[in-house]
Amino acid sequence: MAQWQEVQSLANTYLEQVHQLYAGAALPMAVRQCLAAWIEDQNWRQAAEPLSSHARMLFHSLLALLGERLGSPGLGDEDFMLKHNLRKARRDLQAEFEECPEKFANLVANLLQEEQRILRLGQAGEQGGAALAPNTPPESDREQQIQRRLAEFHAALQEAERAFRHLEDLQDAFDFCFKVHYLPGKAQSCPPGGWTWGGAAPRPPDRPHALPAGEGRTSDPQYAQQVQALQAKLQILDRQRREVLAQMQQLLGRSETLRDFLLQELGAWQERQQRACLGAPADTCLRPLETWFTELGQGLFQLLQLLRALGDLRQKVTYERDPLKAETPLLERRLQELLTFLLQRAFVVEQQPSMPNACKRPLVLRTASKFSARARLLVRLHDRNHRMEAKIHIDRLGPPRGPLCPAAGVPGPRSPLMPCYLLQGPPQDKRVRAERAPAAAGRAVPPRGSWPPTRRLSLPRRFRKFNILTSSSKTLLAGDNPQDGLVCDFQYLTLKEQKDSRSGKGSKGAGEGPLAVTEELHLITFTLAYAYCGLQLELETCTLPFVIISNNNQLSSAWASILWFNMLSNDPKASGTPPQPYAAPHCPRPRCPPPRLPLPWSWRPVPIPAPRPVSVPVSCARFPDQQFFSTPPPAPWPRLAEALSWQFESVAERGLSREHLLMLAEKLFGKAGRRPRAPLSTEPPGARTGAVPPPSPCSRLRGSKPSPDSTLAWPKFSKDGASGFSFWAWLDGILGLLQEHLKQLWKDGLILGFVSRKQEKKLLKGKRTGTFLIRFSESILGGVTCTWVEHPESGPPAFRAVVPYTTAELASLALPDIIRDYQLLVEENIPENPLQFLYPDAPRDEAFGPYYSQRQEGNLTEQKKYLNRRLIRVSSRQANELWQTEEELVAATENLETLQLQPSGLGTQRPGGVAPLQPGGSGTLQVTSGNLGMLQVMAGSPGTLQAGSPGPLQPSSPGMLQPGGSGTLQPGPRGLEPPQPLQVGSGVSGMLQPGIGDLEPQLVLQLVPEGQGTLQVGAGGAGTLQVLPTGVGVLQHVGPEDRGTQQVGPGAVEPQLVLQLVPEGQGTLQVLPGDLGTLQPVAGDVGMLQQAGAGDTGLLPPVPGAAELLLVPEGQGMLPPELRDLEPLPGSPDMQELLQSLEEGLEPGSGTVETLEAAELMPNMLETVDEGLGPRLAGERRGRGGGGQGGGPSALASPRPAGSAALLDPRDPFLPQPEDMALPTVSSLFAAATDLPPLHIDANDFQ
Amino acid sequence: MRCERECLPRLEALLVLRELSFCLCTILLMGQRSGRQERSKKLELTLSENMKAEAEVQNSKEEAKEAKAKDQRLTSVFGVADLKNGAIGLYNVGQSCCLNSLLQVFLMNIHFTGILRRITVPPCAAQKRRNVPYQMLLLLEEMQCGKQKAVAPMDLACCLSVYKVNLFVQYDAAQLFLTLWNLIKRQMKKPELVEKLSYLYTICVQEHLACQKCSFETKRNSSMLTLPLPVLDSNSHVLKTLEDCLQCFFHPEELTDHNMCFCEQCGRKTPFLQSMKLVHLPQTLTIHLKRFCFEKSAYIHKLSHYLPFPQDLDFNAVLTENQCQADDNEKAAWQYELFAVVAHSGSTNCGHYCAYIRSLTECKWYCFNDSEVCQVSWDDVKCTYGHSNLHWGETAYLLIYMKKHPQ
Repeated sequence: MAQWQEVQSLANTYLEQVHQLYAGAALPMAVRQCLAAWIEDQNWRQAAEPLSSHARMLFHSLLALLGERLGSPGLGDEDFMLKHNLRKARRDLQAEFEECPEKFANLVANLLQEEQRILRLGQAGEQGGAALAPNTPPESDREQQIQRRLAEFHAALQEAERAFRHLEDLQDAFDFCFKVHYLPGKAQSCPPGGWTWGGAAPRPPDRPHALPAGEGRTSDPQYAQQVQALQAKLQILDRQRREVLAQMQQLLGRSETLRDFLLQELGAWQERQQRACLGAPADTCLRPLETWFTELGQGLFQLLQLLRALGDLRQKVTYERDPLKAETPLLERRLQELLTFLLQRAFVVEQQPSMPNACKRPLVLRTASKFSARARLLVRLHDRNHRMEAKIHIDRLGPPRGPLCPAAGVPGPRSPLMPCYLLQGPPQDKRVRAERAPAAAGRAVPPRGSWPPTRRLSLPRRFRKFNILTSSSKTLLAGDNPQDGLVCDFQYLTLKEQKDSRSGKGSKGAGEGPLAVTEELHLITFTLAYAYCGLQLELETCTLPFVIISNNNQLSSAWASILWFNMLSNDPKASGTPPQPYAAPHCPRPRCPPPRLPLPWSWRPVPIPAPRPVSVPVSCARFPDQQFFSTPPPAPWPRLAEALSWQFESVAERGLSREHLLMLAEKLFGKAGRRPRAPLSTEPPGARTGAVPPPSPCSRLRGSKPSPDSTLAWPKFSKDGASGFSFWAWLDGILGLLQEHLKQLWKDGLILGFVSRKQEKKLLKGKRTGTFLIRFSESILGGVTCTWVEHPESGPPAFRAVVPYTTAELASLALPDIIRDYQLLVEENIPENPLQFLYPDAPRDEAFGPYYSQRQEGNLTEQKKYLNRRLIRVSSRQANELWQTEEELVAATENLETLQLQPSGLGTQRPGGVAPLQPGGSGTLQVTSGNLGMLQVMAGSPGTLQAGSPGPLQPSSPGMLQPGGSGTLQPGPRGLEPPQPLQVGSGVSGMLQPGIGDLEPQLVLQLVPEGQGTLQVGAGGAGTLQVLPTGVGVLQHVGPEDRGTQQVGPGAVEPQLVLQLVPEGQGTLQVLPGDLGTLQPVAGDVGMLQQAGAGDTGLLPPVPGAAELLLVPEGQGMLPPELRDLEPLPGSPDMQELLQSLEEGLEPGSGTVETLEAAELMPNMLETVDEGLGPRLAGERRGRGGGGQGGGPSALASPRPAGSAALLDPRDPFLPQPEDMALPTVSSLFAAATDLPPLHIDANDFQ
Repeated sequence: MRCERECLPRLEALLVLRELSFCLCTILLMGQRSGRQERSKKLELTLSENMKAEAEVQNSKEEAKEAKAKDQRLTSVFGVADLKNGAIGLYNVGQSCCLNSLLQVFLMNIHFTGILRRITVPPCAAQKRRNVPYQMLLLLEEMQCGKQKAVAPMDLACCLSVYKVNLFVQYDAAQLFLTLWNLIKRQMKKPELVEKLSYLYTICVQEHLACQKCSFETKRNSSMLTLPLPVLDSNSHVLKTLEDCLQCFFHPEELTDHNMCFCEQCGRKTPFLQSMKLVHLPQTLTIHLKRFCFEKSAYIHKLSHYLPFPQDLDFNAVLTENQCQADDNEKAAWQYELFAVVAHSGSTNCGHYCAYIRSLTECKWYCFNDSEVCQVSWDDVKCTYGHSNLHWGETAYLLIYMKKHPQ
């Protein structure tokens, strides 16, 4: 309303126009200035209508105001001139317009209009100047546009309201005159055509253009004159009504544009949300949208009120061809439809269902675990008296039915504009509801045929059915804080599967199920009973589809489904719905023929179609296709690449670079469709600091260039291929590894990551000896490795790679530390670290310096008894060992399958019998999801054994078989016997390492602990195997303090060992509580421990420790021959040396090594151990516990569920059934632990 | 422009005016009263007689000059208040929104008003009252003098009622357009104007009917005033864009089964291929979107689905080579720009029309909603694309395209 102010702030050229405007005008600028606000507030245009009493009123008000202003003290002496001018103006105005105030009104109206025009021009000019500035992003442009339109809309609404008030005035005036001049004339004075008045007893209406005179008084000229005047008033009234209507039509039309803008914004938001669910960085703030929707909603509801008020006006005065009669219902219906639509769309799911701890991976829900979801109504208007109830349904059947189901039929005469709408009945049994929904909605619902055939949203058969536990409905409180908005926040929900009697588990497994559990998409629908301003609606919205799992190990594949859906569901091409035949929208059947008949210009009532309530089938909620995975569309590579990059971005804050994607594309699509490759990586992987610019999107795009049109089919992405695991499982393994251990390294770009072996060679070929890069293993799930290059004096460069490190290893030692201390034992036994330069050429310590963990050098100095200890990774190799040739490597990369089987080239060495074991030895540890028995054995000794004499091993010494055998042996207790010696042997495997080295650079430390593990295991055989570690696990669990004191055998185990074993142990624990008896002997077996063990617990005593002890020597006896077998390898003396060196190097650790081998090899050590074991280990433990290496408890606290589950053999009868297997290990451990009496081992017993 | 005009000495303007009014006496002068007195009179809000008289005076071929003169004359009345406004509302005088919309489309078209201004004025008052073009001209002048924000087309409505176009009856805009156009054409006395009018609006097509058995082919040239485009294809599938609709319209149709025609050469009923070729497109091209369908029995319902139409339409890009029958010269001119949209809201039996028109002089879009006129943007026009969920919203019904480069 500050038009005058704005005018004054215009640029000079435009001000000049304003001056010209007022130069010749009868209204002096002084007056305009003086009464600016008041003048702008009046409706001059309306007043300018002929015969308007309004004009006179305004004119006199103006004069009065002027007079007032003149008399006010505000105008001091300095304004003397102004005062004079105003006085003069007042006099002039009075003189000029006294007779014709309409003229004055018209003048002012035109002046104002012209001012506005100049103002527009001026502002456009300014904007034009501003538009030259290029830094206006299109986003804010859209925002501005919305803001501007909202402002315009509200201004227009005010205008309409003002017009409406004017209309009211006119009508009152007419009404009054009519009563005064006409009604007293009694019956005969009432014109036959009559006016209707007061709404009661409507008579044949009059038309406004000719008011018939009352018959009785036709002779009276005065009366005739009055009737004439009345007729004129009616004319004006009629015109004003039409004008108000036109104004509203216009207003509604403009609001449609605004609505479209908002819906576009909302659509963009929904897309953003979907992408954010995938981990893309996106702004999902709803605040601006909420504000806009609320403002528009407010305006529209205001308009609705106005429209109803207009209808009320018609109740008071009506006449034939009253425009209100025809137009208001139409307008109102249109407005209601608009409002309904707007409200429906404004009901959105703000937070997609997600479990609290998996915020990075929403939309995957696990049965029986809590999740939350939140919906919001963006139109923040509500009726305080109405109880808004929000409900949620899972997999609700039936499409959203027309929310407006008017049941009241034709509105009553009293309130024709307040049709009442019936809410749909509460949802009953779902199935029933789906059938009867159309019928239930009341009689206004059209016959079935004409109903638009919405896609039936019935839950596909054979999908699991779920119930939502805890309350599924909630009353929306008004909200104390208006800023909070209207939110339905459902928290602490859980899902429980409905056990359907018809299709029990058995029939489900019959192979009928079209979709895997992780491909079943489920939906939660929110409904909200909304009412405001007489409009009652049932709003409905639904979440993005989610996957329900019952087991943590399904998480990964469930997320793959979510990824696929959200990546592709927006793609119109992908969803590929065929064009539907046009479905007739529901329209009311006309009750009377369309009024096409040309009617004579007459008094006949016009057949204007009476307003009928119409159900507005507004199905706005977008219901995604739950059957998406019955025919999953393929993913175009660029899109997939983007989504994959988001995964990395969300996990480790760094997406995939062009090179990464290139490698992945090659892996997925092969090299067939590839163009000549761009030279790889001019980009250094950020060797020094973390300052690596994230890959730009455009580089990503280029990265996908090799195959821009190629698409990837869903099975190829998610289903296990020949390689044993799917592409996604592989990638997810890497993601898991990154998240747990390598986040920082990845973020800072130190990990080259996705480099194929061939590529890797290309990269390293030209680099110095000792240049290495870190890449993810392609053959092992979640493995990372480094490859370095060596340039021998002659021949081609050699590339070496370490067996990939997985979570298991990295948990004990961080990758930077491994790299720092990595040692390669050459034949001469001079350890050297081959890793010198991080590709391309960053010195190792410079690149990884910031990530090294603090060494705990002075930790135990006061004890003096031990030297410092440090864990390192060592590989060893032999002089006579052949390095793998390039050809083999190439072959390996070409074929993933072979790779897996022969990951380290072992196969080439011993293509014979070892093959099945080798995967276990190096790769399979984590891969094969079950073979616990095998695994341990393998880890412990398989490599060794095979290395030494794989071929002979199996046939010759049955004892030796256990590595393979133990796994299979588990069931039989008999198996116990043979294993024992073997285990011992494997325990000794530490000594074999020199021999092992040639295979794959083996990890000495790992072996040692394993040895120990096996040692204990040995006693129990396969079944027992698990037990001992179990013991460890259990002990740890009992309490960190306990551990210190207990010093049980397991305590003696390398702390780091414990970690590795623990997860396995847990599994077994539960399984074999009874077996414990058998196990104990094992514990005893450890040698020094048994005495302690014997007195220890209820279960322990029965075990005769001594007997077991005997076994050890036996094992010993068996060993030598084995060693002899290994003759070519360094002899046992060497080994002893090695061991000693190890002891020195790994001081505390060696303590355990001693314990292991003590029995035979180093008897002298035994004493040391015996003496110092308890207290020292206790201290050590504590030290390590605090040492941040990830002690037992932490390992337990954050188990990789999938990993631990993978370690269990599902075929093992002693093991839990698959279903239970994946129960969270921690909790189950507790449960099991309570069953285990022997856990309470008193530390004192050991002393 | 405006400044320049304002600077013109008033006297000169008056002279120009006089000159015009006296020299160009193609029409009967009625109550020519120029000068100050008359101007002051105009200050009053008089009813239409005065204005009509004025309007007649204004009839001149040189619109620009005339406008200038008029501007000048009225400046003294309202300052410079809004004289140039090409966009003036029309009061709804009784469910006349359809008529109003069409009138606006006619009167905003300078090519049409160029013809309209040259009509012969009927000699006697009775004839004047019944002459549609003349009444339109009066209305135009009344609108152009810019006194009010809207004008009531009462006289024109009365005039039309003589020809059975009544008030208080809801008409179909396409139908009313035909009626109006024909009335105008019929009542124009000058043959050259009639020709011009036809040339301005009519589309020429050639209908081909070819027997599928023999090579017998009949051709027939015909002209149309509108292109009635289907919005559903032959299988009742929704067409996606206006271009699709055009293609569907010009797609040859096979007449088989009971649609077979009698072939003179074969001497029996044979299947025919019916096709239509475009020969000529006019300056002002009217496209009628058949947004209704007669599904299920007698009652008609409206199709409100989303159907976008472009601002720029190139027929050469839409039609294939054998769908046109025109020389390159003609084809080169088939570049169109959207000029107006007549939009309908509501259902088939009750509803409301409004018109979106792009002013040819200012190149700005206006929305005409009876007496309400406001400047809008292309985004607003886009709202008339329709929405399958909103059956009461505005949907485009008539599209009027204008040739970009008039020949």
